[in-house]
Amino acid sequence: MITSVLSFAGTILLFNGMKRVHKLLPTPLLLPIVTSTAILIMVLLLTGTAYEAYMEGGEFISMLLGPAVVALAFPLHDQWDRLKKHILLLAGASLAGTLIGLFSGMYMAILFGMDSEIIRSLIPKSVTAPIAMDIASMIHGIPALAAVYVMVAGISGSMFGPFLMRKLLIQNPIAVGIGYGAASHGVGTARALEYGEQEGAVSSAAMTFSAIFASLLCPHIAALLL
Amino acid sequence: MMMYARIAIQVALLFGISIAGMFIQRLTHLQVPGSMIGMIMLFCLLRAGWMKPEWIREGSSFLLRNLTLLFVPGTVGLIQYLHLFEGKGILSAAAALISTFLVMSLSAWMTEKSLERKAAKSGREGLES
Repeated sequence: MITSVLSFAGTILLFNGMKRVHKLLPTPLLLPIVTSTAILIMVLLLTGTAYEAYMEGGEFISMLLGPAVVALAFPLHDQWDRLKKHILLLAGASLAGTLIGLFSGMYMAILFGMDSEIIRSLIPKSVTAPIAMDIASMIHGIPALAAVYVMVAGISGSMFGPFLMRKLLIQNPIAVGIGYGAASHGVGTARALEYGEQEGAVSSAAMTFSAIFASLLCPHIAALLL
Repeated sequence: MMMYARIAIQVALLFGISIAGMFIQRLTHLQVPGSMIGMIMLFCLLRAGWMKPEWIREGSSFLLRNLTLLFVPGTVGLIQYLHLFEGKGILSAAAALISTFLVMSLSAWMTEKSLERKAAKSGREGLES
C-alpha cells in the first residue's frame, strides 16, 4: 500500500521536477522522460525494490495510456480540414517510414550478429508499445523486450529529433509531424505536440498509419528471417 | 474544482471508449490494439457529429499535455532487461537508435521535398493562369 502510493505520487512529483530542470537547462540529455526513468531505475536498484512492487502504483499512470491514445482523435478531428488535403502523402510517407524502420532494424541486427529472439523483438520498434508487443508475440519475439526497443525509438527520436530537423532544414509542420510519428510513435507525438497542434495531429495520424502498416507487414517480413 | 470534475468525467469517457475498443479487438481478433480501434472509433464519431468536441476537449488536452509522463512507468520496465544490454547486447540498442534516425530523417525529408514540389507546381500554375 505504502509502496504503491509512494511510487504513484513519487513518479508524478519526480517527473514534474525534471520538467522544471529541463526548462532551466533545455538540453536533450535532460528530457524529463530520460532523467525520470534513469532516476527511478537507480532508486529501484539501490533500494532493492522489484519492478512489480513499483508497478503497483505505477500501473495507475500507465493505465491512462489507453484513453490517451483514444484522445489523439481530438487533435486529428480538430485539424482534419488541413490534413485531408495531404492524406495520401501522409499514408505514403508513413508506409515508406514503416518499411525503412522494419528492414533497417532487422538487417542491422543481423549484421551485428544478434540472436533471432532479439531481432524479432526489435523489428516492430517504431510503433506504439501495445502494438509492438502484440506484433512481437505474433512473430515469436519477446513482447517485453519489444517494449524496451520501442522506448529506445521513442526516446532517441524525441531527444535528437530537433537536431535532425534543423540539420535537414525541415520546417513544414506536416513533414515534422510525419518524422516524429513514423519514427517515434507516442513519445515522438508528445514531442511533436510541443511544436504545435498541427504537428501533433500529423504525428498521431502518421503513428496510426505506421501501426496499421506494421501489423500487416511484420509477419511477412519476419518470415524472411527463416 | 469544477474544471477537475469535468476533466475526470471526460477522461472516464475516453477510458470507456478505450475499453470498448479492446472489447472489439477481442471479438474480431484484429491485429490492431484496442486503444487504436478506440481512437479510430472516436474520430469517426467526431466526424459524424454524434460526439461533440466539447464533450472531450478538456479531458483530451489534459491527457495529451501529460502524455510523456504516462510512458515513464513502462520505460522503467527496462530494469528487467538490463542484463540483455551487457556486452554485445548494447549493439541491439544501437541498431534501434540508428534505424530510428533513418526513419525520422527519411520520412520527414521525403515529405518536405514532396510538399516543396507541390508548392512550386501550384505556384507556377498560379502564374500561368
